[in-house]
Amino acid sequence: MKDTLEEPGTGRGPVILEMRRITKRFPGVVANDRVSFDLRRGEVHCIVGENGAGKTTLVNVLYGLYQMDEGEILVEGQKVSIGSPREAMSLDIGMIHQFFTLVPGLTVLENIILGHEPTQGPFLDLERAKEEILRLQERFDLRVDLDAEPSQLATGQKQKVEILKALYRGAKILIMDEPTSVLAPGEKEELIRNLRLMTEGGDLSIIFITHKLPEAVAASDRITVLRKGRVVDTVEAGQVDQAALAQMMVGRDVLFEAARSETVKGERVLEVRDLEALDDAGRRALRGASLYVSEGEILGVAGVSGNGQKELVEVIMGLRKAERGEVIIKGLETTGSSPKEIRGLGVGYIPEDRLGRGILAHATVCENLVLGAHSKNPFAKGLFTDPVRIREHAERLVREYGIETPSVDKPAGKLSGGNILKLILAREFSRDPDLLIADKPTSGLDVGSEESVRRRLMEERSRGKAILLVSEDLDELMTMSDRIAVMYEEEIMGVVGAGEATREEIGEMIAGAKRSGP
Amino acid sequence: MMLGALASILSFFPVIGLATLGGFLSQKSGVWNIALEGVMAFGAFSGVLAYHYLGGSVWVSLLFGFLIGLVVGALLSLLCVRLGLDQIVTGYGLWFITEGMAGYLYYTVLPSVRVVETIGPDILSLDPVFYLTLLSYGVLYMVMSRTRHGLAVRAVGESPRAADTAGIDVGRVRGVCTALGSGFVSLAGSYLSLVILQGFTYRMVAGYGWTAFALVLFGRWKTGSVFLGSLFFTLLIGLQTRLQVIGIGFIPPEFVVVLPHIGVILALALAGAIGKRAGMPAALGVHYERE
Repeated sequence: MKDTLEEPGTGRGPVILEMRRITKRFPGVVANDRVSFDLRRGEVHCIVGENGAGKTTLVNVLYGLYQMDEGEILVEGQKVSIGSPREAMSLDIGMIHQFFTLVPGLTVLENIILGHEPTQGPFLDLERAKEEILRLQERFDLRVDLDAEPSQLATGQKQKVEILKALYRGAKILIMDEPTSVLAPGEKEELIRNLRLMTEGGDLSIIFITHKLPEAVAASDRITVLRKGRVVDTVEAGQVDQAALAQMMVGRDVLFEAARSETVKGERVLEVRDLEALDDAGRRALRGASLYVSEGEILGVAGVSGNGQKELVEVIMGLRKAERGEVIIKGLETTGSSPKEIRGLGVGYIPEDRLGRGILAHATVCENLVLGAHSKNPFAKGLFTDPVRIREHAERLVREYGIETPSVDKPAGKLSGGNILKLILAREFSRDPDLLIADKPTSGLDVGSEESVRRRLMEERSRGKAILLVSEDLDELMTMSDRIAVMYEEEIMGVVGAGEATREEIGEMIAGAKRSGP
Repeated sequence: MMLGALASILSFFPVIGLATLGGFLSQKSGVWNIALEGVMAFGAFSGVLAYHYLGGSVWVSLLFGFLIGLVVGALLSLLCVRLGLDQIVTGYGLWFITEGMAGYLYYTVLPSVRVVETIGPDILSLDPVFYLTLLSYGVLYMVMSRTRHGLAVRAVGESPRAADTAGIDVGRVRGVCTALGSGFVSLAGSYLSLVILQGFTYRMVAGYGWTAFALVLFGRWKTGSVFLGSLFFTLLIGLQTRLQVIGIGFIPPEFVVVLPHIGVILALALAGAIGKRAGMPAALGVHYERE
């Protein structure tokens, strides 16, 4: 089949991969809406977009992890169907996932050859494999000790092993899904250098997914911007600046104006000073973070997830250790206090992980609604709880918050996502907290539930509560918050008044392209 | 005299060594087989059954015991690998059923069998099965460390998802290892009844299956250590038997009988103190299903 598309004259290689009008639907959303994308030989082609823009869906279709609903894929001009990763591999397409698939007990060498072992008679020919891999390492500057085990390697080295694995299998098209999100700063620059080296000879072409614009501009030849499942544009990396990209990425949708009444801003309920914390892997995830929230105010925290928001919230709630800095709630320093002590000060918490942290999935709705207060007056007397009162309390909250459940005796984990959230809201609000920490309270909800959650939060705000609202939805933050703090790579890039900054400016800050004074 | 004593002690090695090897193979691929005790008992019964009905050849009977073990192992892998049932619960049930069935069938179906034939030419006063056990460990070592099959087994035991991504059929590898492992365990039982005790009695395995299970953990899932561990334990058992015969003054014989088991517990505690899960296949006991 002949390639009929016109190639813009850039002097680079011919098109080796073409995805035409790919449409992929999931229940309730169109993740990819007639997305067209092409990759030239020896090119690094970046796909940028916000979370949920459809970047990962598109490459998962290419790698056979998802089946597309419409569209076609051409590899070197031949129409192909890719039903599984194995079929993708046989077409010389490799993929580096965000989470690595290395086998812990095997050496690096064994990991690389696994599934493609060279043999001599009945035995493995490790010498031959080693020679071949050393050649690849030499050529692409991917130095890793082949006799080490994965547990001894740093993240960047593990990623090199994954890349070597793909190259060893003869990949000609390499998909990298947010490869820099797991890397330390020094490792990032090294990776970006390596991408150039790997594509130089034209044997390898790379699809590089990121939402960080400086990287996209530095690493790629062309950039395709996706927004809400559609291609906004494909541009030459040399001919575009970051501000223009940010604008394409976040769009210029007309915002609906929320009825945000003026409230009297009172005292600072929460204050965080110069906070530093590590993530689960022991890497620094938060640096020099300072912010405050006053009575009658919503402080929005914007940013793509994984930029320190989770750690910030967990330190405030006493669920994670602060390495430096202090948290002050209602004038009391609470750094190092237990979650119970912190909640005792009148802090409500809507965790992002609602099923794991927000409720006890196997306990009943009734039990979940009283959780935390179950041992206190009026729900308990002496050694025993008062089941009648607890039940009355639960039934009242179910009515008041419109939690849809056949009875309060149903296990809470059986409720729908929206109703689980209502349950958590009901429990937290019924304690009448002065400070509410809401970590992505609307994520995963349908439009109706989203609206009711937002209305509830706004009501609490007008009653003089202080609310810290973490969200990835910029529209939501701009309509609800009084001020917005933007996080990018472990830091707060700046705090801006919601009325002062444009969507584009905040978009640039989210993507690390701009900083603003507080 | 000394040499003779040593040989008689070492003739017990296949019982421990083969059972441990079987348990090792299954665990290495990521499947707990905690029914070693029962599978050995069933192997012991199958051995004498074959001896009685298949012409009284010890070799044929040992082979039969091995094959029966394969069938039992295939059943276990059907339940745990294919259907994804809990490995501990299933193994527990399998232990009860196999040990109970062995006793029940022996006393209802078989007349009392006394094995009279010897196994064949001794080499250095040790029977060929001893050397066969040594050979099995040698082959196991080579397969695990030097072949693609061994690499596949280790990968499946450590990270089935990564193995699947690399194009390895996880279910098949686990199934084969579990069945084959169970075959060796059953063979150990047959050897116990046919060669060592020359007959069958209920509960004759007397905890050796559990010992073998513990020895895999003690050996930290390494072929060489598992081999040395079973050799060490064989010597302890031999010592215990000698001491029982000779008697050592004021120490009651009952205490002497439990000595090897105390040895195992100490060894396990020691191994545990060194590194809790060091060497343990990361996906041991974890059922794998594609998303």
